[in-house]
Amino acid sequence: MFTKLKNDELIVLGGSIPLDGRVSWVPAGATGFQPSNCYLLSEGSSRLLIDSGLAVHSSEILNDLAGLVGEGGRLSAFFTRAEMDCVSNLEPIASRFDLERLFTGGVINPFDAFEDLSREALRGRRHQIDAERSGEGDSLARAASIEIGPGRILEIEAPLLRLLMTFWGWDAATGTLFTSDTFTHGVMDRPDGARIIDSTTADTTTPEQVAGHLYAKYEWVPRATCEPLREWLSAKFQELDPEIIAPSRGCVLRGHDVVRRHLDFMLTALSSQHADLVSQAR
Amino acid sequence: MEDLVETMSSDLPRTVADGVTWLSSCLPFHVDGRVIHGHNSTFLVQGGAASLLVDTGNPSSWPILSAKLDELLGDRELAYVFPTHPELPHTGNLPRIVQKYPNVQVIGDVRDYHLFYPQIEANLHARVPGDRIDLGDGYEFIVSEALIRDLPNTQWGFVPKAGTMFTADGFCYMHRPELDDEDPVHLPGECGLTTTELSSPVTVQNAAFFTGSALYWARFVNDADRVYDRVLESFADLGVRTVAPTHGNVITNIGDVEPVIRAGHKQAYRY
Repeated sequence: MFTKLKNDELIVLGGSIPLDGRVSWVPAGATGFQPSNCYLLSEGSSRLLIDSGLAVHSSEILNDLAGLVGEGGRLSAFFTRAEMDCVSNLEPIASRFDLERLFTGGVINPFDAFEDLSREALRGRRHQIDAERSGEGDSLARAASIEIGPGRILEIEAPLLRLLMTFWGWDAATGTLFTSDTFTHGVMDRPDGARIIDSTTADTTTPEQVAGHLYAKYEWVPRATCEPLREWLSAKFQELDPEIIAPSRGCVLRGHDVVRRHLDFMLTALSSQHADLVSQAR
Repeated sequence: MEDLVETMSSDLPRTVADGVTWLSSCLPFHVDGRVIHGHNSTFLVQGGAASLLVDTGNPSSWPILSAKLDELLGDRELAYVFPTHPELPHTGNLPRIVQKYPNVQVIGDVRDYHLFYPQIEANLHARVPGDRIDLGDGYEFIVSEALIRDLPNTQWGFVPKAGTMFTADGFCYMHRPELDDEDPVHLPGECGLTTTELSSPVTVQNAAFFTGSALYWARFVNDADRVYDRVLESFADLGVRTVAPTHGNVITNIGDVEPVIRAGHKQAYRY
């Protein structure tokens, strides 16, 4: 299953997972279904896949990809995190398609996990996006950019709000901010429910839900000095003014009003007073 | 810069506690133009009736890990594998381990694993802190709460007979702080040394560097004393004598090293 977010330029693929107590990144007791996302950006005949989705959805993701780029079609890939929910389909994708470039952070080359023959063939196609920093501080501003196709760039930044090394992507052409494991709070009441929250969706999201999802993985936030995180996040959204928030899991958030509302929810979750209250309630 | 590749330490595996064998791959990487090392360790716990592997190593280390397991286990099948948490250095070889030992039980907090590794779902067995795994001959493995962690589904493990606590990403640091560009990536005997055996002690700077990276949240949370006081209290209650982190040398002089790790944790705080 895939959904066009902005014509053919931006497509979300993936699946959904039942929230059955076996998922660590959602609040205890969460119910319903959560989308698991990866994104295909197209510019002419050039393609960039952002994250590879969960292995449990491998068949549907790869079949959708084949339908979109053709069997053995050429594409590049960018992983926002080196965690399994982002990378676990790398091997089947590299086997079935012509993976021209792979952009990841860190010193580990993901192709080193492959068998000898395919590893040697692919190893040189990996581009480390954080080999050099262009700024000081904890947020690696504009560490790299990826050419999606002629004239279209995905800008990469390590966000201040992260748990493990993470890279957000910004696609100015579609106004999309790829936020990896944040803004993941959108869930569905059925597996084939609406994967997108926009002006046509009955949005019942509450600040407590957003905080609960954030704290499920970022369990340190209630104990943290949050002001730098709030300031960074607020400034980032003011700078970019995204139309779409595209997380690696959770519903896509589309439309400036929706984005603004959910940013406010996130900023509330990062306020120390709110964190204390939610923490006490847990 | 040269393309660096993870390799198995030439001086491992070695026994570091009663029934505990340390295997490690060292991952060399560049920091400020210098090559330094980071461990990605696995540990084999062997009882009279069963064996348990703590963490799996990165996928790139599989050939040597597989060979070493053959040497250490002989004809015995690996009974249990305990990934401390689902990151590649800790779970990356799970599918291969299950393929090699089809009956192995993957134990721990196994939330998410059915999504990452659907092919091994039948081998997954959830465990909670306090659960005991009998390995025979008085050896048991106790699933423990991870008092220092990044991912929420992290667990530590303890072997009472060996007095050894496996601490995942807790108590992590770099080694060989004085490594220069001209030095070889591996010097014989260093990667497999315990902290007591190292010629240069663990430094606050190295602990701070790794803490600030592996435990990124330490940059924002200023509660190191509360955390480490609780750890020491737990260690005292259990009789922990050896700390086996996944990233770093095995710690055999906890009283000397813990204050350095704590200081490094504090130093990672930025605000």
